[in-house]
Amino acid sequence: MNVALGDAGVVIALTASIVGAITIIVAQRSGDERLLRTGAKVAWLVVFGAVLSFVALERALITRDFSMRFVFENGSHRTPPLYNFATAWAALEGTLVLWGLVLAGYLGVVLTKFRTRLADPLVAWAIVVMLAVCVFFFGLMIGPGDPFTRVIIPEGFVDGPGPNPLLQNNPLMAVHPPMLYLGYVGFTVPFAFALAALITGRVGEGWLVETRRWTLFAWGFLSLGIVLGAWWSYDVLGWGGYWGWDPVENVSFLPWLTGTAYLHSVMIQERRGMLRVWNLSLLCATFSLTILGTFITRSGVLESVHAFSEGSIGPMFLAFFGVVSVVSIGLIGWRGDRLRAPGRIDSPLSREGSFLANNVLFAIFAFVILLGTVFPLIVEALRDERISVGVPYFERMTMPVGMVMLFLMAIAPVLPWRKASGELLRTRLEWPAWIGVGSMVLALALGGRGFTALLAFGLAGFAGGAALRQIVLATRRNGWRGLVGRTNGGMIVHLGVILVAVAFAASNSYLRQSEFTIEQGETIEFADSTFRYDGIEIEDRSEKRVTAALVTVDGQVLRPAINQFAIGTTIGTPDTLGGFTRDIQIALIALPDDNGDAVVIRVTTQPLIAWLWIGGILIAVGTVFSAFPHRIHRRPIDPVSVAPGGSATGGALPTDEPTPVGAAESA
Amino acid sequence: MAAAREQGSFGAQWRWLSWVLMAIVAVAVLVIAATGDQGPQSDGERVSELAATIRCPQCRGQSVAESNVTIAREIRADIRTRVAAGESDDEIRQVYIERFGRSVVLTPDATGFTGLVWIVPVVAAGMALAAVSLAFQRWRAEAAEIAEATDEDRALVAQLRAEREQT
Amino acid sequence: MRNRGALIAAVVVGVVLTLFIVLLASSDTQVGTSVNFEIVGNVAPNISGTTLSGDDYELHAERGDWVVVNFFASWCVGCRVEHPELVEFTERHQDDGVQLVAVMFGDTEEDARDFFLELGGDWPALVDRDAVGRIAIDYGVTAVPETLLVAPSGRVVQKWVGANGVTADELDRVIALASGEG
Repeated sequence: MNVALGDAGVVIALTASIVGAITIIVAQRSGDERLLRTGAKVAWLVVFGAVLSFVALERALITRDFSMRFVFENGSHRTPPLYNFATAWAALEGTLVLWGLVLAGYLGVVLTKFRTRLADPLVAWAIVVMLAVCVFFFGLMIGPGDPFTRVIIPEGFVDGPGPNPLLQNNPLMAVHPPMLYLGYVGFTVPFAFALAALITGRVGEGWLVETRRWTLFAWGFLSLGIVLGAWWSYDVLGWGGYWGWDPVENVSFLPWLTGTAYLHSVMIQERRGMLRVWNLSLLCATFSLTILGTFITRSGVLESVHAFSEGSIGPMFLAFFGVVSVVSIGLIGWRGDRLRAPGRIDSPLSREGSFLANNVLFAIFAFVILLGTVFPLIVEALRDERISVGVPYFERMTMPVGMVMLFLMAIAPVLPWRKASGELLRTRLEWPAWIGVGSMVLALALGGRGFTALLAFGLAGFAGGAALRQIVLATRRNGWRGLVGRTNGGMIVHLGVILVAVAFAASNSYLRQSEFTIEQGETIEFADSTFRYDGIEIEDRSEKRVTAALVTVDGQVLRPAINQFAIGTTIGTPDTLGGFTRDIQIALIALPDDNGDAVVIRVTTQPLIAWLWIGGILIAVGTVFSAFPHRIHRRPIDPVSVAPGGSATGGALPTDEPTPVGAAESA
Repeated sequence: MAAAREQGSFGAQWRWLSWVLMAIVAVAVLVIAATGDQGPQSDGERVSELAATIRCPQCRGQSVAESNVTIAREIRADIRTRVAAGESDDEIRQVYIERFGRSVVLTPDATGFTGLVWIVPVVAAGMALAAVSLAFQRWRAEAAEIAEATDEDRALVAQLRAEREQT
Repeated sequence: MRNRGALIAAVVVGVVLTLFIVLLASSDTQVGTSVNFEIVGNVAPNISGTTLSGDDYELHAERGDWVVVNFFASWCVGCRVEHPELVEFTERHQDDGVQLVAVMFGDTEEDARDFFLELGGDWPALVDRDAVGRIAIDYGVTAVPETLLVAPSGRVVQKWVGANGVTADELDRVIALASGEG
């Protein structure tokens, strides 16, 4: 029943995407509006099919329908309800269904939002591109990645193994993958519009305006997804880390970098009509990097802790990556003549100059990470040697880029368009710079040492000061509405990023970690805290046995545990004493040989960890704010620091955001 | 802003004083910070730091510090005895390179073909910087051209006017 | 001229991307990366310690004989599969000087003792928890079962890794092959 339902959903979605795409192309050619509307209706069937297949998958999981292979391999009666629901994305085939659902969801929103403008070739082609992407994903679900296959339940079968133990140990697992997919898949929409612009030849700024907010949403979800993933790593893996420069983490970071670069450089194009090829390339790169990331996650060509689900579909993703790249490069080359943009940037010391610098930095950042990630493959292919490129490399190489980025974040927000004078910088940056110096002094007074850490704090304070300055000026002028809108929402995102950077620098520089063999009743001192081991506590649950060591840390009891799952896997669960200034995490490394014997624990203390998550939340909040349509227009020449009174105009002057073609809808 | 405006009334030199002060404080702080940087404070911490730079040979992309499989535990125990015996970080790493191969260290070599992973990004960054500054130079030249052209234009216009007046 | 620049850029990007895709497509999945054969061809590091039966053992004292070094653990399923083969192997070589020595890996002395009581086998086995960790690292062992063959010259000739360990026939085949060559 579930298998049939799911298969039906996939078949409906696949057929509908093929038929829909063809119908819309034909209708485009003939200019037949009724046929066009029919095409859109067919496209809605994709949404229906995707929902149906997802419902079938969840239904099978919830009812423990072991006749479906996916449930047979990943389901279990012992799995608690939340994790059981999340099991859908605990293995490859299920993630495809989720991907399909999210993709179809975005398609549905596009269809709704642009329902009155189907006749616009740009919209029609964008829908065709989205449908083409649907064909790929639903095609995978019919072919090599079919989640809906039957299995003959062997005699004496009682229960399945349940999902990977690492994935059923923390509720974050229920939200992290959907967030990541909302981000990944969300980039399909701007990509579709970019391709549509290239196909129709309408490579002006119209398509940009349509897609800015989509990109912003996708970017926000991706940011949130990455932060939640880091949080999950921190809470589950138990080595005191949250970001390991692991290939899978790296490839999820790459589209974030190119997406961030795009969100900045798009403003140059809106303002000055420049960098058209670059912006189109960034969008295409972002989308194809999400596909590449999926390939690397799924194919196992690179070693990763996160490669939870592997299968034969890796090559498919690589092929799709190839197709996407070829189509993008080909189209950009073909439209090259129309993409030539006149114009110049007058001075490097200007808003557009700083956006350009920002893009160079992000490109270098992405390049370093991509190179480091695939370099072992290059060496193996060319030299037949095995090498590893790990944390020390990435930290050393990305650190200088990060520093320059922070510096740029301090200067760029106060820069006006066109040209800035030294005098202007001096006055506008004075108190942000004092905040920077002040934070360095503060860090030093609190006992912080180390050149890079202190430099990072100083630059972060500087950048934070600049962002705060913009926010303060905007709210002083416009009240709470000053927080809303692109520029100041962006400043809140900046603050979030700065918090993450500070927390990253602090936790990396001042991490203290050591392993201790500790007898029952023994007290040890480490990193200004005392730790006493008071014995173990055993709890039997349906799916696992939890053996926790009771460790009293400065009067509070922590319970780091080792989980022995019924299927035979053993994983640890650290316990954390969190705070705004410092986290103490204890992981249980080895159980006592006999009750009453010594245990081995690993103690990790790191400052400011909590601010990573707070920064992540701030990024999300800022993204929402900057996606808000703002009605208050500012003078473009002097974006925020114009004297009060001269701000609420804007009718005659060009506004910050060119009036979009579909302005009525966004209001 | 208000503070900045008040300062505007002081002399030009005085206005930069605040920045000079800032620079002095910043440099002083960085010097103190750089000299006061101590390494790991105990053997246990040195073991953890070292373990984080060695790949767990049996795992998938995890360091010995992160993993808890048998060999990772054995290597951590081995590092502990070597640290206690007074071996240096490099000596210890060298031991594992001999036993498990070059890929056991997470830091790629800076020499030979592998060194490219360090050099290429630096070269790329340099090239990007050069390209951007070239672009700015070209833009400036373009801007200058236009400015000069107006001068020529003026001369041309004046000449034409003179001619017209003659006819 | 500008158009040509764009074309060149597109071609360069295309070529780099193609190379990149070829690289990714031709890379194997990294299954079995734990395997390393650094030690093969080198002089076998010494193994010294106390065996299960309480005797002292020195690998270097066995120079001149073939020695099979086997790493095992009681919790390792492959080792249980392999064990009868090793019993068979020692029975074949009771008098010809071919030796077998077992080294415990990540286990407790008690469990290792039970393992031998349960499955038989009377070859020297080193189970001192403090001593064997270093031996495993010296031999570059990553996971059990792992078996190495040390030639009479003291060099490691072959190393076997794999889920189900070695078989007696395989060991004899390699010994015959290597002695024929040497």
